[in-house]
Amino acid sequence: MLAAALIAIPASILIGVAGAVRRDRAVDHILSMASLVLAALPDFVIGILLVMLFATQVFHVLPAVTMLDNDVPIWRQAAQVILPAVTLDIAVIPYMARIMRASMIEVLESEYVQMARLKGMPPARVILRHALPNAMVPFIQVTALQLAWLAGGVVVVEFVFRFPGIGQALIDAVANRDLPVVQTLALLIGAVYVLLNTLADVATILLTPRLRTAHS
Amino acid sequence: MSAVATIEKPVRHAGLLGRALSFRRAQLGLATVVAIAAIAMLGPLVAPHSATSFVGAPYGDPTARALFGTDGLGRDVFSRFLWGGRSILAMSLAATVVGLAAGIAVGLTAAYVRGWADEVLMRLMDVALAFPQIVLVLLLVATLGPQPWLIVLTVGLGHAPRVARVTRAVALEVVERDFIKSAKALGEPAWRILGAEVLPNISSPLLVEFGLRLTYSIGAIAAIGFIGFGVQPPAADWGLMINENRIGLSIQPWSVLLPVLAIGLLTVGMNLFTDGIARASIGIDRGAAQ
Repeated sequence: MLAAALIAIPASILIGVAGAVRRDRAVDHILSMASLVLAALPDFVIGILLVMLFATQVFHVLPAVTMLDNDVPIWRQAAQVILPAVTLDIAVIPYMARIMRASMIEVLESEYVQMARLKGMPPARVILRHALPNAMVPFIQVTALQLAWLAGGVVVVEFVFRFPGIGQALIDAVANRDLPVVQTLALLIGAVYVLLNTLADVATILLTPRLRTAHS
Repeated sequence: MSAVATIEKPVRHAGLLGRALSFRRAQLGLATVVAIAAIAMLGPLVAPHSATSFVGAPYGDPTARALFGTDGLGRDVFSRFLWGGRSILAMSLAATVVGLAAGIAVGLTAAYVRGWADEVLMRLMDVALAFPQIVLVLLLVATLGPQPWLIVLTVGLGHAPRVARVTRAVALEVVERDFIKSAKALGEPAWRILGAEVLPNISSPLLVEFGLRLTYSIGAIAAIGFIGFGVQPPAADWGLMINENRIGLSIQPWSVLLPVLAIGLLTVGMNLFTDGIARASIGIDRGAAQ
């Protein structure tokens, strides 16, 4: 699921910034409408629609179920992972992009951004150097929550693609009433939650000078 | 008491809904939700066959007898589709009501009493928030078995922390107002102050929260049905239908496509409508502040 995360973070930053910079123009409206629709769709609905589109009914380009060979490194069998990863991406990107857009808009309206513009800086530099780092803070918190959600949401998506992972293992264990396995897996997923939230807090502190220098 | 309560007028729902419906997105959303809900509620009345009778060969193509073909066991897909919406709709509604009631109760109490009780309640909610809902449901199903009431309860209580946060945030400002102080001075009991004085004044954010939670409930309940721990066969249920028939996806897509579309349209419609209410209530609050 790392693949999903690696795509999701830059993609949602890009979409969010694009929406904020072109605020209230056509691009922004289309992006916000699309994110509203995609955010509402349950992940397994997205997964099955993707399977119908790319694996069974319309095109036959990608495998409908994931059959990983454990002896082959995962990047050699990337085609197996595309559909599950894209499904998870579509499920998480809308939220992340919306937060990015909202916090970017707030930062773009601030006085120091206005100052930077008045100094005659190129717009790209204003956005990348002045606005983006400050807009990242709320985004990181939401990203951590969403990635943590991936750890749980992955359960259903893995079931859609029969992906041999932690979620599929959990469902099998529940179906067999295999309690020790269920407990272990639930604990593992819980641990991922805690870890990601801690990482997000650390990243927030690193990005916020006020918090970074509070102790010294 | 009534004189006290009318000093600050609560937002009228008719006005709020009317404003929400001035957005075309919200109209589209509401129409979709009503259409799918009508199929779910009235479907069993017009279904040509019962949900469990066999009408043809497995994965049969659409015919006059079976409008959308047959499923993996030779049952009529269209009839099962018409039967299968009730359980999802009823369970999601119940779960949302449970979650909202629990969340509102905790949030209001925390906002009203403040102090250490507030801290304890909200930290408890934070802990509950730090656990994925679907894993919680699976954990309980593993111990108690796939019972509908259990799923409604866990999905509902899974919503409670977020609802509690929202409720507390908006109620904090209301409990500071003068009419609450007068109600206290008049000796009204706390439950009455919270129920009759505070609650009507935070109704519009809670209405938005209801729509949002309902969207997620539908998704969660459908997902639980889909992974096979919701409504048990041979009953018809949209989530279950997807699970039963996805093996035959390449030969008979209708048995999967119909429930997938219904669930998707229902959640998208609900979200669009809720978005409309949210926009409308922001407008009303701004109007009131000016």
